[in-house]
Amino acid sequence: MTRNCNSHTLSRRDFLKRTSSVAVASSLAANSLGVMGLLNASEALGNSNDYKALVFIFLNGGNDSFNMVVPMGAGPLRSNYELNRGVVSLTENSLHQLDLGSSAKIYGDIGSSDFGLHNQCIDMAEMFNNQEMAILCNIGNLTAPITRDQYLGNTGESIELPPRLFSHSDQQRQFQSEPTGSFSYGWGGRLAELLQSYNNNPLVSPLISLAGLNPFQVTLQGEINPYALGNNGIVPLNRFSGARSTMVTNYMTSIDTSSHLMAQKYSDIFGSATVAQDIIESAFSTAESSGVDFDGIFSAAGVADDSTVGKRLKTVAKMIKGRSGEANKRPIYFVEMNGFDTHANMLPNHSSQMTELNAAIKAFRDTLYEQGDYDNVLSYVGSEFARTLTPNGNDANASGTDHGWSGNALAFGGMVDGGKFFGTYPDLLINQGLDVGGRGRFIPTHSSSQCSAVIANWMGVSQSNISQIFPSLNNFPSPFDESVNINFIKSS
Amino acid sequence: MRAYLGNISILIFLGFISSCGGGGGGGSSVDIPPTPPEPAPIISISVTQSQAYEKTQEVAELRIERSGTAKTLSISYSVEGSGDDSFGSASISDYELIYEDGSLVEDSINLSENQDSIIIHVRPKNDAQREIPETLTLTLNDGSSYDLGDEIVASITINEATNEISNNQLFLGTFKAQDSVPTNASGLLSFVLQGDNSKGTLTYTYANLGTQRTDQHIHLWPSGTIIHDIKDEDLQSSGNVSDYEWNIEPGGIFTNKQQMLDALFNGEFYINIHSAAFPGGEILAHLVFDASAEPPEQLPLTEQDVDIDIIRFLTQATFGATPESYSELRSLIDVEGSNREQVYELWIDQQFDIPETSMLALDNHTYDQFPSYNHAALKTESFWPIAVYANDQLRQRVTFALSEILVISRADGQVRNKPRGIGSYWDTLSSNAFGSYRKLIEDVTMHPMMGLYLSHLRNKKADAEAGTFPDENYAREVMQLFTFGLVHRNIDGSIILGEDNLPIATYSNETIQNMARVFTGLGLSYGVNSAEETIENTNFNRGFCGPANSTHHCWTQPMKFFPNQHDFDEKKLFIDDGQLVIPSSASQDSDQALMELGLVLDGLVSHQTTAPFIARRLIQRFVTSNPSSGYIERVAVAFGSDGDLRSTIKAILLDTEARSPSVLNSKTFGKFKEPLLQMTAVMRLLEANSKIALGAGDEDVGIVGTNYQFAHHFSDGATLMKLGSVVPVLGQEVLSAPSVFNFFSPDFSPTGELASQGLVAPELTLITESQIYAMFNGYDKFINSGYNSRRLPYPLDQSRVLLNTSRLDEVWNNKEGDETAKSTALIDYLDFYLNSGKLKQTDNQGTRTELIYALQGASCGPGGTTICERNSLAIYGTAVAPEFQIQQ
Repeated sequence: MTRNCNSHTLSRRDFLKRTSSVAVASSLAANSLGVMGLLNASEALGNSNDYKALVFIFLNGGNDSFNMVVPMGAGPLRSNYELNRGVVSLTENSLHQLDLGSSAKIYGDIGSSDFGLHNQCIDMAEMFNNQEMAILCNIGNLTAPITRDQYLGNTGESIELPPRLFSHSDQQRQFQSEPTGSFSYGWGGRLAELLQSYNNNPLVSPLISLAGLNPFQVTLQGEINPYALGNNGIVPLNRFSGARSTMVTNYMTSIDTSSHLMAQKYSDIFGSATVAQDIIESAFSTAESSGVDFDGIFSAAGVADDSTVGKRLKTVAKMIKGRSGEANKRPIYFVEMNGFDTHANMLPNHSSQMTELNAAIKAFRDTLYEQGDYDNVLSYVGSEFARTLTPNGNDANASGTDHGWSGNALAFGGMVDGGKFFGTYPDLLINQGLDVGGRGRFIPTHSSSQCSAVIANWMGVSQSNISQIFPSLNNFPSPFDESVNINFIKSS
Repeated sequence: MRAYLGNISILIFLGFISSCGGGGGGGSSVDIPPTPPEPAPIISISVTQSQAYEKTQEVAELRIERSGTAKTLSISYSVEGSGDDSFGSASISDYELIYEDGSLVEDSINLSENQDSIIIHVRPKNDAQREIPETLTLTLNDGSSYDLGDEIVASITINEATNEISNNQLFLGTFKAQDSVPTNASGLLSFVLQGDNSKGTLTYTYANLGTQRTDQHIHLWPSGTIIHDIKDEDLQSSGNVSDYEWNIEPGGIFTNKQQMLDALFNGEFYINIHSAAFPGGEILAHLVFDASAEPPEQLPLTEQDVDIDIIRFLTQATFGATPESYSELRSLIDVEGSNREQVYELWIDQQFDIPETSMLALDNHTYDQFPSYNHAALKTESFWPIAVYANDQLRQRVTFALSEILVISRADGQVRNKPRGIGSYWDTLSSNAFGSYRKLIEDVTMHPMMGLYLSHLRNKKADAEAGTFPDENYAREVMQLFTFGLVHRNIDGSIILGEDNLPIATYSNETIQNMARVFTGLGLSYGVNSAEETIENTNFNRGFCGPANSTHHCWTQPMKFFPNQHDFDEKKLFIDDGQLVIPSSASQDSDQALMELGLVLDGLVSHQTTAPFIARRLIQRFVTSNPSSGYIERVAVAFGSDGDLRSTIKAILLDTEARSPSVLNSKTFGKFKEPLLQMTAVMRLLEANSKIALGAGDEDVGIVGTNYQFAHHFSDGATLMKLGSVVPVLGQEVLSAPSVFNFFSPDFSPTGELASQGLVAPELTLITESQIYAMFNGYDKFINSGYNSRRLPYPLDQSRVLLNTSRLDEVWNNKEGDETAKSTALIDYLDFYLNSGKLKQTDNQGTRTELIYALQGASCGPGGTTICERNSLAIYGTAVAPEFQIQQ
């Protein structure tokens, strides 16, 4: 780190102090305009085509996505699946068949278009079949293309691997940044920096997290800090008025560069919370009086109203709907869903995870559609890795699966070239092909950075600038090359 | 400059030489009638004071004696410097030889008649030159009028000054990029030369070296000639250098120490650090003599310093300082605190001996008091009375720290539904808190709640036919999180690099697959029969031992091996000095499986990376987020190969880095307080309580007794306290982390200046915009209505947990003066106990001024259970103030 970061920090502190007074002015303005005034302004600009939001739904713990996207039919892929998944195989008749327009690309040129989604993913299957959702097959953290022989050291070459494969914390961080040993930024954070010209609202960060702090939204320069919302949005401070409010507000601003760095950070975060509060509250009231029945749509979609991921996505939908004319034009949301580390009881636990995920995605999709934002909001659903194809026990319900490498991700939204498989689905063979280690941990056939690059490009980073976010892309063929089969955005 | 004389001896032959002519050779002789020869006197010399000091004009002393005749005698002598070229050698310009009366010794040493002995002083000449210690040797020479005794040579040393601290001379330097190499590394250096100029101690710290340090030298400027190699094996640690003794031995172009000293004072030396990426040197620092700087000195502590240190100590070692715990220590420590470390150690030893408080026993007592509730919903509520009132504060505080390393969590539904197992797991940590980490990790590994959480319970060996493999979950985390982590480290925590300059992984996925087989075959030891009686478990697959609210005995007892499900084949495990290989075993019983497990756990705990890895984590829990490498090393050494937790705890709490009052001036030392610990500190100071006593009740004041059999393990007046879920308020709660990675990563660094300085602040993970508001509202609720969770069968006013403000009222009422004086006293009181008095000390008085100002005019009438406005402002205002979130 260079010394001139100090001046960044100073300017950040000055920025906060400056914006505190702006916040007061803007809340006065909001009051005098009234909610209707804001509503009109937001509707007028809501039609603007120049708004794009990214919602990254991260499945924490390693989603067993070879039981989310499952082969069907009579071919060898299905028999490989049944042979190696053993007691944790899903039966064909439990799956929701997907209509692939053409044969999916499969490792080893097996060729098949017979796939289904998990029994609990009925709405996701419908979205796929309605060509709103794409499936990104066998992607994962990868520094450079590598073969099984190279991985096993049989070729004498030294190919760099993502550091500390199969470790949650490391692979999560890499999936949210780059497959490197040292971490300096997340790709969402860097994306926000490159898109800064679109995000002119000084009062709210373009980086909004529904799951606390995360590697994804860490910026390189440290000037844009993510803003963390509660699951249900913002909860105001209780009884914060009179002497209490004066006391706290004054002492928070009395913290200066002579104070302990951690106390400075604390007062910064408090400042960020108060500055953003009015804007977010008004976004919520705008959204709630917009006529979109958020609660109704979410409760109609099964468990979406009760689950954490459902609540978080509902809050995101409201933030998007209630945005004002001055809102940031390229916000980046981070939503996390926990509970995917199914070392034991994989079948029942994964099934309830899929139930929650399906309901939340369905409700979020319906809400965005209803509010007219489905074409502006790209949702990306990924996990640090899938799991071993082979189970760790022989009891169907009690057995689990362990940490794998590659996995299958999802993308949905009006801009997605849906109803297709991108990437290369693995052949599901053990001790050959893509497997390393004999348990069905597959080498990714596309790097997660290639997928993320497609998203960054849609958000507005030119292809020539994309390696500023993903330096490892230089080791791979361009994701925008059609033959590479990973660009899942509709050509406009 | 003075001349260097090296080994050229200066012989001063004077007087009496004339007598040599007589009697010699028998040439032309004059006949003198022979007289009976008078026996010649025998002379000898000895040292009575060997050191002379130029600065203070202290002299060295020699004593010359004779026996025999009493006539006047002139003794011939010679003086010379050291024969060794590399040592200093005194020249005639450096000293004078004088008699006791101050007169100069001339060509010979003269004894007057009847004088048997004489003292010769060697007095250094006071010059402005800096000299190394010089040796002067005086030799008595042959003479005709005396014989030489056995002792005729005496050596003394002439020094610049004594080696008292006040004579130390300080050299300072700052590390910067060498030859403009692209590096962000920087650092500081000091060299303290002792008064006699013979040697000194070198200390330097540096950070942000791009790659591992490979070498470090002292060089001559500007040629770059190496003068001295600072060898790794001579250093206390492999990272920063502290108190490295350098005796300025001649090196490079220099042949003696005086040349070295002159070059040192001329600023001709620099130290550089070589790294893997910059083998020619990455950073360098010149040793610059600083005549103005005072040598470092341990200043005596003031009474206030000692008070602050006591509170700091209690904040580190307990769930919060109280007037009682402060008084106990204060009474033992003298005013200047000279015995404070002994007293702290005494206190720690006392804490080692206090009977252990059991969470499970208190859980069971709580379940009895609230029979209508699901036990799982009552959660780990026993934590509150334990943290706020238990006598074994240090043990419980260590337990809390361990619970954030050896994580199980109620966030997992299966764990959540076994409340007795959770209490038992806490007790497993606390019973081992003052034992060995080796035993602790064994008990944790065998605990069914850990088996459940990291799924090595009912973990079967591989079944080739069915195509199944052992569960890898525990195998991975026991290495990655519980013992040595991902990469090999030095004893001071620095990462060891391989030949490719990359960190060396401690294990591969193959290791994990082998390791997973170690943890196969573990099942529950007990179960229940249809009558819900506890039975021995014989069914490996059993996962049930009674419905909700039953004793769940099996979840409190260690698991056992089912040999037919354990893999007894050879296992090739991790590498430390060599690779740990567990051979395949012919005997296949549970004893064999246990022995194998023991060998693996031995290897895990004694792994050379485990001590620094766990040491850093523990220091972060108690003292500071960013311990120096020296601090990590000292604690790692105390941890040892078996994980001696008593020594480790003492090493953490008594280290100079933990105890030095100077850290209070630092903007980076210390840690952000965990919100949970901030809450317990407030609760302890303000005696949070319900009206349900653990012990006997008191009807007169509406306190109901529950006569808990272990009430004596708690302070008087301890009550049952159930707060309900505090995760939404604090972002944390014991044994409820979101994942096995705890509430925060030990390496989390918030963006901004902390990150740019390479500093971590793990606890700041919990401080987000939404969480900060939730925390504020949490204190608001405590003050406004108190906490209450599942009260029946008790009425609300008995079960509700409230803060008691009588101490605050006492401070207010006892303070003489106007409202400003009283407000100041009240804020200073809270500042003292909750914040080690830092607010009063700091230059920026903004927060203190606002707090004091807010209290003035705030009403405080007498009133029932509600907390009055003044106290409300004081508690809320201090609990959430920025300065109060920092533990230094």
